[in-house]
Amino acid sequence: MVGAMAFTLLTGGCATAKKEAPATIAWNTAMDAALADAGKNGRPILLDFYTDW
Amino acid sequence: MKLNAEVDTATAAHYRVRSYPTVLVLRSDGVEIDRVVGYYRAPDFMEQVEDYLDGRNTLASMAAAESTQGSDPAFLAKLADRFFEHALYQDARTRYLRLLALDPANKSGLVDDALMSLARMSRKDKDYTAARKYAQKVLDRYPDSDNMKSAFLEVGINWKRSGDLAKALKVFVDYARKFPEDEDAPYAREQADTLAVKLGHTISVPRSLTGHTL
Repeated sequence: MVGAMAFTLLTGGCATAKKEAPATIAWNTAMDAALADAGKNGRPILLDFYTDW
Repeated sequence: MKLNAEVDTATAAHYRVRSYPTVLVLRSDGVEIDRVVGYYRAPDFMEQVEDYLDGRNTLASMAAAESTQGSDPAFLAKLADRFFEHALYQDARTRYLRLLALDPANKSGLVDDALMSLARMSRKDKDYTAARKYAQKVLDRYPDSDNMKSAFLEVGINWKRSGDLAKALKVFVDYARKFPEDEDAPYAREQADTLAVKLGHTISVPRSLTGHTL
């Protein structure tokens, strides 16, 4: 469940959940687009704040 | 989604993100459920995210339990830490101070941690005098604490931030001398070197800048 959730959460828009974890995560980098996508699909958002320090 | 907090400062400010990394778990409408602050092993991270999605261990649920568990030092420490993570410093400060009052002998072993958190919050709020005093309390009261070295450095950092460069220099030199093999000794030496140069420039005291004679 955990892996699947991360997958559906993080790939945002991919309809078919696979058993294997994706090699890379297709991160959304625009807040508006992420909110629109999450709202449309009723899915929560994982929002990672990072810095390049 | 990923955001560079230095670039998208408005969103970081909106969600009151003040340390990195911070991962927010949001409802689909963008309202925060809770957050994970700092680095965790993947399974622990996922467990926290799952808990939040199921409404467990959220700051809101913990705050609701305070009326019944608020005299338990472990609960207070955890609640204070959560407020700290949410950058709700005043709420955090109140709980840390209650913990200090509740357990002056540090039977819980959490009071030195609380003092360090109070120091770090004060530093983030740019109250360097308060930050230094909290860190100094760790050194004075709990010299055997795991936090002793961090507190030592915290004192130096806050002298430096408040512009007392000579006092800061002394702390970093002392640190490098006392703990020459420590993982933070190079940092202390670097700080001491930088401060020596700065002091040399401003007050024209001749110094050897080439040798690391600290």
